[in-house]
Amino acid sequence: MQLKHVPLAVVAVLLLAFPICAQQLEIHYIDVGWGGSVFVKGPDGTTLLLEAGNTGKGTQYVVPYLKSIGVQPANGFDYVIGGHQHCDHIGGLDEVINAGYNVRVKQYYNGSSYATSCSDGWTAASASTTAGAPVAMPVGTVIPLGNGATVTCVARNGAIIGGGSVSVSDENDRSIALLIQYGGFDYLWASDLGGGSDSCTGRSTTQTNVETAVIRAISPGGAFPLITDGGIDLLHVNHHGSESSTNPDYVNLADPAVAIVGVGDGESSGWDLPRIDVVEHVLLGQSSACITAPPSFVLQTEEGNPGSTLMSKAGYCVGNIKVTTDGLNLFTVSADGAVHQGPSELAAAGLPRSFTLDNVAPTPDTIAPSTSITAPANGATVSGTTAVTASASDNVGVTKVEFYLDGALVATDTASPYSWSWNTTTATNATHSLTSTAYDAAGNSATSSTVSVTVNNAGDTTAPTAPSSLVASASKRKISLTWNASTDNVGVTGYQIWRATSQTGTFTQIATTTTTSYANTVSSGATFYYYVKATDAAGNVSAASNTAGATAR
Amino acid sequence: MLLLKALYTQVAGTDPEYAQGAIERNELAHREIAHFVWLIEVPEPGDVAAWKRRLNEAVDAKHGAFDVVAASEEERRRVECGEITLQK
Repeated sequence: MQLKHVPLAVVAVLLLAFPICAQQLEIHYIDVGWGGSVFVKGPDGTTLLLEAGNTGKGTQYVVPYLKSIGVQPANGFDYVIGGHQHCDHIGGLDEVINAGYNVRVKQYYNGSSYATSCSDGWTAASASTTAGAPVAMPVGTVIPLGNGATVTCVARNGAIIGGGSVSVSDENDRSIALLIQYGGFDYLWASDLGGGSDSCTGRSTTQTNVETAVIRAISPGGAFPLITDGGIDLLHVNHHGSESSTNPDYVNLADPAVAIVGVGDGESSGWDLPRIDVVEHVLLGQSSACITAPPSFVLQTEEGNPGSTLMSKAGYCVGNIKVTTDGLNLFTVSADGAVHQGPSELAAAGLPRSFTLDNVAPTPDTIAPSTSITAPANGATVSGTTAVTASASDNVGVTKVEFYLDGALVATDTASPYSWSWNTTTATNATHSLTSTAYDAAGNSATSSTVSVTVNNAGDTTAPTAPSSLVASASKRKISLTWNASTDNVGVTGYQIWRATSQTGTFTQIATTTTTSYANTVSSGATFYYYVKATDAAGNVSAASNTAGATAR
Repeated sequence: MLLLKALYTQVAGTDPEYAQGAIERNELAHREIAHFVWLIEVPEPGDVAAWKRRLNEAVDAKHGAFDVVAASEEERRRVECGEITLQK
């Protein structure tokens, strides 16, 4: 990743162009000197405290800093996470909790058996919190921070997300690793996680290389890819810049724009952090045979031991550090210059500075689709099964169209042409409203104008045609009738046989038949006159056929 | 590696965690075997005066102070046979 320093003027222009402030993710490196403490506030206000420095630093630095940014004891935290059990990371947690900060949801630790007075103190103080005692953080745990921002546990105690593992014995190497993401912003934090010895830069350590397994797992092609080829944006420099961590492979894959070292106040002889072979050689890319990533912008909370010949002075010592981002285009780094030890290099660092995200989030689609009912027409009368069709379009793409009958969802179509086959006989014979609602992938939707239609399934009111060519034939005690069939718009279902004793007499229906013939048994010598009418299923009756008469033998 | 024993004297009213922090800061394999008593594994030559100085550099005198002595035969045996597991 290129070092992407964006002039403040450009930032100002962008802010003017997009005056609506998006929700911010905040990351605060609290200057606890020798130790670690990071406070995270998500876009929805979810809060996490990652560690609280060494014994005494919770009271001395963490609580005052939190109060200075408006996080009062009454606000508490949603989560507290201790990356590993060493006192310079969890020694101050009991002090923060005992200052009145409740933990509402969960407290996590690395699950190791390493037990000290510091871990005992944290556990004891936790009894007063809603969350209770810390529990081992499962790898793969995702903590939502609002507006899509998340914290994902990508490693703990040698277990790596995606199923990998590294055999570890050192408490530092058992550290929890967290990937915090918001839009296109990626921040990787891993407490004191080890990077192993490195032949390329010549560093030697008894710690194990867990870093490389972590970054490979979450990189493209890894077992659980969470980041893009651009790597991450902000890197926590593990183990305060010790030679035990921040190996070249880790940095090459992480490819950070900014690296932050929590180090300083309290350093003494023999403690040479942050190391030259970490800051200069790796983060600033001076070991060109090993480092392919561009140089990072290196900040540290404090200067370490100024008398050491192994300690780097290349990073900027700037006190408490704040990183903010809306996850869209930039992240901004600022600091307060409250350095307890060594020079404050805030001015030299040129803070605040903004950096472009290596993985710019796509511009949100806020344009809704359009849709209209194309059939039936407004005011139409419908019956039987009727096709209801809709048109829909969108600047990105329509994902589905819903059809509503009188405000109730009745059908969904995901492909054009969008249609619904409506069996109108299930509706009352009345006026009904039809609308369509179209959606896009971003969840935008729009509803059509209402189309009113009248359902008329009242039935068949058309009578069959009259039967024709009725012929009456006499035989012994029988008069046989035949006629030509009628027709009907739906279908003839039968015939009525009517009879009278004279051609102009009163005719009475004597029978029905479904065929076009009928034999009437009568007395020998009887004379009768007949006509026939056709019927349909709706009960419509045709006009009478011609009249025909005969005298039985 | 040699096994030494660090003994911490706490200034009354101070947080006892300062002692553990000082032990850890020297990145030594260690184990607290009694209240304020740690076995520490140090590289050769394991000079007790030098390690007393290093431990006391890691703790503020207003919180307490360390003394360092050689571990006993029994303590060495218990570590060697695994009865006491050092942690780092």
